[in-house]
This record gives sequence, C-alpha cells and structure tokens, in this order.
Amino acid sequence: MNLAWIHLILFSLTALFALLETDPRLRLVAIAVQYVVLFWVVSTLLSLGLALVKLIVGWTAVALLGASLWNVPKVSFPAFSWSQQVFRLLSGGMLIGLSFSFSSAPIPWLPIETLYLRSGIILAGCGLLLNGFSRSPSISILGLLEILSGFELIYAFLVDSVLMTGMLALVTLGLAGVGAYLILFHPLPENQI
Amino acid sequence: MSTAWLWIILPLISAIGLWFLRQHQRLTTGMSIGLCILLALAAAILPVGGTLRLGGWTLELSPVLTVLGRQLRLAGTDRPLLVLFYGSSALWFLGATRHNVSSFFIPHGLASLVLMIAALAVEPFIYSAPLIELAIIISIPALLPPNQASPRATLRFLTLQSLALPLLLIGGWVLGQVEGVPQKIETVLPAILMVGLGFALWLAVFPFHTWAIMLPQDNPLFPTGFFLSLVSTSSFLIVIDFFNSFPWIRTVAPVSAGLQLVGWLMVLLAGLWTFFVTDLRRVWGLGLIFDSGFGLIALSLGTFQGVTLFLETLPARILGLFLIAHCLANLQHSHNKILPLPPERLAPASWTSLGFLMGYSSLGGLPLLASFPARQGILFALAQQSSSAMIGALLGNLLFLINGIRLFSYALRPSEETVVSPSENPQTFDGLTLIAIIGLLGLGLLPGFFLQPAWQVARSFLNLAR
Repeated sequence: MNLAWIHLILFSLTALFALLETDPRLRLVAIAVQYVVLFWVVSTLLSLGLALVKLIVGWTAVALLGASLWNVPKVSFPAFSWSQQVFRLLSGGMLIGLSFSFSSAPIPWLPIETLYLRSGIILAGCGLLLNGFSRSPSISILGLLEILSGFELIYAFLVDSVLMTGMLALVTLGLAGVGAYLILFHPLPENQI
Repeated sequence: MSTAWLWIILPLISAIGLWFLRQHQRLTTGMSIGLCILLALAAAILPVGGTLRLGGWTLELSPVLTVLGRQLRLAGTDRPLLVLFYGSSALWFLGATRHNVSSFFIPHGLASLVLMIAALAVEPFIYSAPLIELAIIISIPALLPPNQASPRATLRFLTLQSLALPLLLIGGWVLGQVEGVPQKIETVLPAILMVGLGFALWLAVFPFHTWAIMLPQDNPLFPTGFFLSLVSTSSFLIVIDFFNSFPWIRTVAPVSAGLQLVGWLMVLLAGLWTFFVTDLRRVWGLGLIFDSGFGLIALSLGTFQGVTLFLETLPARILGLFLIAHCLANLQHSHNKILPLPPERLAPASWTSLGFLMGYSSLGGLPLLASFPARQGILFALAQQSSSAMIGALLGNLLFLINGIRLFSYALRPSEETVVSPSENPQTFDGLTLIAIIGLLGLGLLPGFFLQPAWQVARSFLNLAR
C-alpha cells in the first residue's frame, strides 16, 4: 500500500475519533497522534528540524490544553446519544466523501499530491465540524488546532520557510494558550458538547 | 538604526516589560501613554532614511530591517500612519484611565498594536496574515478578563479570524507564483476566491459579520472597541497593500464589481439594522460594519482618489469609534457586570449622550463632522461609476442618519434612571469626551489639513490607480 494512503487513513481515523469521543482528554490523545503523523509526512518534505518543530509545538499545545483540563473541577462527560453519534459519523463521513469527490488529476495551481490534499481537507473539515459542534472552549480550540494541522500539511508542500514555520508555531502555541486561559477562567459546562 | 527597531521592536519589548508590571495599572497606563505619544511625535518629526544629528551623535534611520530573509519596511510614506496608530492608541490608553479595564489591557493592547504595525510593514504581504492572527490571539485575555462574561462571542471572533489565516496563506502563495498578468484568469480564480474569503472574514463582511456585533455586547465595551477598531483598520490597510501588490487582480471583472456590491450592501444592511437595535452596544458593531462598507466602496473605485479618500477617512473613523465606545462605557456604569444598554439610557441629555450622538453622527457622515468630506467624495465618485450602487449606499447612509434622530429623541426624554453613583454620573463633565468632540468638529471643518498626509500615504499604493 502507498505510504500516502496509510497517512490518509491515520489522519481520517484520528479525526473521526476526535469527532465522536466525548471525553476531551481522549480527544487530546487523538490530536497528539495526528501531530505524530503530521511530523512523519512533513519530515519527508522539509528538513527534519522543521518537522520536529511542528511535532514539539503540537505536543506542547496538547499538553497545555491537557494540563488546564486537569486543573478544572472534574465534570462528567455524558455519552452521546446514538442519534448524535450517527449524525457526527455521517458528517465526518460526508466530509471524507467530499474530499474524494475532487478529481485525482493534479491541480495545476496547487502542486500537492492529491492524497495529501485530501488528508489536509479531511483534517481541516473535521476540525471545523469539531469547532462548530461545541460551545466548550477546550473543544473549540481543539477544532482550530486540527484545522491548522490540516492547513500545515498542505502548506508544507508549498513553502519551506523557517520564518513562516516559526510564526505558525507561535500561532499554534498562542491558540493553545488562549484555550488554556479560557478553560481555566471561563469554564463552560463541559456537558454542553 | 532601522525604523523597525524604533516603531516595532522597542514598543514590543516595552509591552513585555509592562506585562510584568501590569498589577500597577496607573504606572503601566502612564508609561504606555507616554511611549505612544513619544513614538507618534518621533514619526511626525524624524527623517526616515535620513541622518539625525544630536550633538555629537549621528543617527541614521534606515527604512528596512531584514529578518530571516524577509523585510520589515517602514518608509517615509508610512509616517502619517505611524502617527495615526500611535496617536490614537495614546487616546485609547488615556480613555482606559476612566474605565475599569482589565490589567491585561495595556500590555496586550500595546503588543497587539505593534504586531499590527509589523503586519503592515512586513514584505512580502503574505507574512501579514500570521502577524494579524498573533495580534488577535494576544488580544483575547484583554477582551475577556478572568471570570467575566461568556466566551461565546470571543470564541466566534477567534474562530472566524483564525479561519482567514489558511485561506490567505494558501491563496497568497498561489498568487505569488504568478509572474506578470496571468494568461488564463480561470487558473488563479480559486486563489482569488480564497484570498477574498479571508479578507471577508477579517473585515466582518456579511455573512461573517456576527462577531462585530456580538463582541461589544458580550465583552467589556471599551477594550473591545480598541481591539476591533485596530483589527479592522489594519486589515483594511493590508487589503490595500494586497491590491497594490497584485494590480492585475483588479482587471478580473468580478473583483471590482464584487467589492462595490459588498460595500454598498454592508452600508445598506447596517443602516437598516440600526433601526431594530435595542442595545446601544450593538450600535458600535453596526457602526464599524457601516464604515467598513464605505471603505470597500472607496477601494472599489480603483482610482488614486479612492485610496486617498479612504485614507483621509481613517482619523475620523478611529475617533468616531473611540467616542462611541468611551461614552457607552461611561453610560454602562457597572464595570464588573455586563448590563444591557437600551436607548433609554441616553436620557437625560448629558455630555456622555451628546458625545455618543456626535460619534454616531460623524460615522454617519453628517455635514460639518469628521467623516463628511470623505464620505461626500466617495459618493460623488461612486455616482460616476454606478448609479444603482450609489443609490444603495446613499439609502443606507440616510437610514443610518435617520436612526441617529431616533436615538437623539431618546436623549431628550425624561430619565427613568434611579440609581447612579456620584462618581459615575454621566452628567459629570468629561474632558476626554470634549476633546474627541472638538476633534470630530475640527476634522470636519478643516478637511484639507488631513488631505496632505493621506495623499502622502496613498503615494505608496500607486499601483492601485493604474
């Protein structure tokens, strides 16, 4: 099997898991795994150092959110009803289907391998769904981080600038910092998912 | 020494220093006001690109600083903008002394301001997007102090602004690959759409406008006013820079027409919506959308005059938005609670309600007030290009002004207010309101005074008029 297919499957599974899981801590684990796969892909395109920056920054962001979730009073995470599960699964599935609706021929204005373009769209799309489905700060920020991961996957094929990598790393850390701030000081009931 | 050291790196280091002193709010406010005034004066006086002699010292101000192969360029033509940004920020920080703002406001506000200026200075323009995003991220703790308000509007704001980043970076990269004018426009149309969507998210263009109305209502008004006016003004300047960098985009038929359509629709819808507003804080957001609509119309004109008119209106826009936010924050009374602000709160007529109405009327382009000369010029120029667009914009403008009369009638009604603490009495004379009112009248009566700096800045966007 082509390596790109393995990456796509891993990205899709983790994105769907983050969409269907109710416990934000397990969602964090899924996002952390996404960053490993992102590192795997990016290390084949950019230098190992730049790929490592993405991995370390991603994991730091996840750790920041995780630590802040650990420090808020424990709340129970009610499981989704079956209709919610089906709705989320269908939404995620439709998104994956949508990404495959693009022609497999290379796009002249965007020089990216099609399977990776699909992976990026799946990540960004599932991030958008995750963000839109919840009013909780932790989940909304996780969604934004997932959108950013999808974008970084696509962007790694286009630009290998150290400055841009640094700026995107700052944005990722900034978003996680804002997430941690909102979780600690503006906790919404986590059952509002 | 490079100009970026003076107007970007020095204030950024100061913001970091002020963050550690944030518990001493009087000290940090005083220092930030002093720094902003100093930097505004420096921008007005110092010769960029020339040599400054101070006794035995000679100081050369080079306009370019290179960072990892990219440039931060603050040339002589940017000086009026630096005066405007630092001068208006000094005013906002001065206003913060009147309102019980969060201790994060000053350091985060200064850092956001610096990042916005860096976004305007960076070349190529594509690097502006992450800088604006960072400025927005930094603004969040000041917009939403600990344990105050609901994060709903803030999350909406952050989400919509963050979505602009990937769209602008990917679209900007694709357009950057095009050398000269592309032979087949269809190949770059998706990239133009991506960049357009990104700008629409930044500028609160319908239907991505919700955050502009929700934020002032859900969050402390005064800091929200500062950050939103800063984000919106900087975004506009980056849009101008973008069109200046890719002048061929204007030749794509739907772009200019689309800008014009979106512009007058924003004016019309904002003018209409103000009639149904039951909370004055939403008026602030609608005022921002209304003014942005006129900004888009000015850019759609595709002439040097359009750019000059847009730049000429910037001081009026910032001062008008400041006055409305300042007066509404005065009317709100309770600093720790987010109270509704119905139009009835304008009664009894006071300096505060007068200030609010002056700010509102100025944004609406009432004759003799600050926005009028540029607004009149935009409408005249629009009439020469499209009568239907001019009628739409004029109708929206009239609706906005007629709503001002409705709000004025509230101020003349007998007050139903029962509990007002003496220190927060809105009838108390407020020097800052008076200064802003005089400023709005001055800008309206002496428009020529600001034409020269606007023309000077517009010269750096000459490609736009070709």
